[in-house]
Amino acid sequence: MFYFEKRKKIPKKLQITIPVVSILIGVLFGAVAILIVGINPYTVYKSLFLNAFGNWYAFSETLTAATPLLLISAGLILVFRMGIWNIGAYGQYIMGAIFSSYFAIFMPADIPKPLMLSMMVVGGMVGGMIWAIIPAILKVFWEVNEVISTLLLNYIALFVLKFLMYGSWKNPTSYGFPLSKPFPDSAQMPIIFEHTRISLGFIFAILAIIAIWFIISKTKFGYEAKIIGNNTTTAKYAGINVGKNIIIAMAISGALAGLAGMVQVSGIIHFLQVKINANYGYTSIIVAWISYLNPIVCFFSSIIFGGIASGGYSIQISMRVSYGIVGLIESIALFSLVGAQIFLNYTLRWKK
Amino acid sequence: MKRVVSIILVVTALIFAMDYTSNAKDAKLKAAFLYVGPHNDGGWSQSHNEGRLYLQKHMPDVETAYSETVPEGAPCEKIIRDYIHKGYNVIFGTSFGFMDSMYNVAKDYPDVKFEHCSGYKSRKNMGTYFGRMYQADYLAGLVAGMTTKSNYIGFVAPFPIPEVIREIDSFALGAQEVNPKVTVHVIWTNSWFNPIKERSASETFIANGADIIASGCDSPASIEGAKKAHIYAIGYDRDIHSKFPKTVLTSRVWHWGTFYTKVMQEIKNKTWTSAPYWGGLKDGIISLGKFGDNVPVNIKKYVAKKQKEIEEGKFKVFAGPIYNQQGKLMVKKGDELSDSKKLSLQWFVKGVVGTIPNN
Repeated sequence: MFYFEKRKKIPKKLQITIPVVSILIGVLFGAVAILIVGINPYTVYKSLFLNAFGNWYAFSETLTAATPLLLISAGLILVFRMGIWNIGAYGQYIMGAIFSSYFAIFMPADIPKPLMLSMMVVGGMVGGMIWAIIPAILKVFWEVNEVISTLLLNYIALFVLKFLMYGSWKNPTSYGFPLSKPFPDSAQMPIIFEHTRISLGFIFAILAIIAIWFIISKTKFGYEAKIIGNNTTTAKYAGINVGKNIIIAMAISGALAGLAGMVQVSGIIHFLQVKINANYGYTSIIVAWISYLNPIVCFFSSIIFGGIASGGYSIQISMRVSYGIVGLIESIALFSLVGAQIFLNYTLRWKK
Repeated sequence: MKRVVSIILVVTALIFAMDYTSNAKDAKLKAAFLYVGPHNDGGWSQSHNEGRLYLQKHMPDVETAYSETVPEGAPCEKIIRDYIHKGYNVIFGTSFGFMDSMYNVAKDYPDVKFEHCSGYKSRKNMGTYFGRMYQADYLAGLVAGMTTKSNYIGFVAPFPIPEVIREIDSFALGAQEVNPKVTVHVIWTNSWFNPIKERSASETFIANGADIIASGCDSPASIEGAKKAHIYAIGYDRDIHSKFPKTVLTSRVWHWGTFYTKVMQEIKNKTWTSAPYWGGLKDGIISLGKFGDNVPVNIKKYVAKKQKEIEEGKFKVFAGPIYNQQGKLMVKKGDELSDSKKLSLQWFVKGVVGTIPNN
């Protein structure tokens, strides 16, 4: 009979093998789905790769998509390390987009650009932060499960956005179509490489991941976070204020997701609407996990997943493959990854 | 660590060396079509796809491609940019919500031509096109007004934008003209393509006593509902008489193919401009579909007479007197609603039951 035995030490090799194999399993299942449609999976994947990394335009679009993923997963790494399951990046992203758009839509358009963008950055971060602190407080004071509260707040955020877009934030000249006024030039994030859509947000994302790396490995707060993640009771006995740490970590995580929403509306879309790619909030969960909550690895996984997302649109054009294939690959990769966790901490043995 | 960095550097260098697209010098005309629903939705998007196939048949030297179920939002812009980087030089956007994405991209690519269906934003390289569907809506309204027994007609409507309000108003004007007792009831689905919502709106109407269902949405789901309840329906987008011979009274039909061929011909001859196009019955971009099997001859004759008058310009659908829902005179006798007012229409005519949000 097979049984699991706990490993004394987690082998380094497995830490690399498992995420790579998980992505491969996702790709394999994707291939089966593509075969069923009657297309050669090899040509699809080749096209996906070339459309994500094959030339400067493709790579710039990959970095554009990687920007929000990097921002959000940076924050998720921090809370996941504490064992706090923030599933609410989707809603925090939307709230960030809403709060920052307020300034773009309702402030005079001739405010100097640096001032306008600063207000939008702060607004976006505050928006995301509020949406993350609510479940944090519920958890700390009333022990409400944060998986459920963050998940449900996602739907509330989406309905708030819909309420505004079908209601008072609708552009009066859009004749009833749910769109906000276009953002004035002062509210549009500058582009850092000409002829691409890589905005200043990409710099924010790199700074964020460096900051998270610093917090995790160089500060007392990061150390406490790790202890809380290992065992909350131990942390309490060690005199750590667990509740305070949870609220701070959630606030940081929410602020970064909110910033991602701001970067998207200000840098890419240039107006507020219902479809603002909030799904990045869910993809980032996969990105954070596949990186084993390591900020440096996370930088590269964000680019890989940015490539899958961006190349996914192109294979729809060139290969007539549905964009759904992207979601399929992503979700099966996460599924295998979570499933394989057991092999990281345990080893399979045979006993008669 | 050094090894990892050098591997990454080598890989990136290889990646850029593989730069495989060269699109700038490609002189061939390549047209990309964006659909908001599936290409075989049975309605709006399918009518555009039939237009694309018509173009393909009549101008085999033009290469065409399409993307379906394109979201009206951020992803749309990405898809357009991808097409341009694959060498496509003409972009047809076939939904209102693609407008701002197209407008954004058109600014960055002045050499690419954009044609946007049903919007109002244009540039030197971005034109708009649409059809005066209200003429066919009016004729369909005549048929419905003369046919209804319960005087309750249901209209399943997508978004409260002028394009749709115009359809409902002209339909109601037709129905009211032949039957002042008739009321046209409106339910918004807030979606172009949502067969489930369209079907349930249709069922709501039927439960309230409707005996004719019309729709401005992209799928024929509401007509399926009418068929099941053995009542009548008005088809939209395509002539669906063959599929619902007993249910459908008539259809309001789009013929995009002639327009697409005209545009591509003009681009080929370098005579294209971004001037807005708004053709009507006489231009052949729209028509009334086949009459249903149960439509009597006297109705057919009356409608044919009115159609001729519209085509010859003797009769105008939006000619006064026209009253709004509250009974206020909006267009005086002898006047006609101007094209710009038609394009920004935000009120319902007398006989329509329903509200336009935010008014």
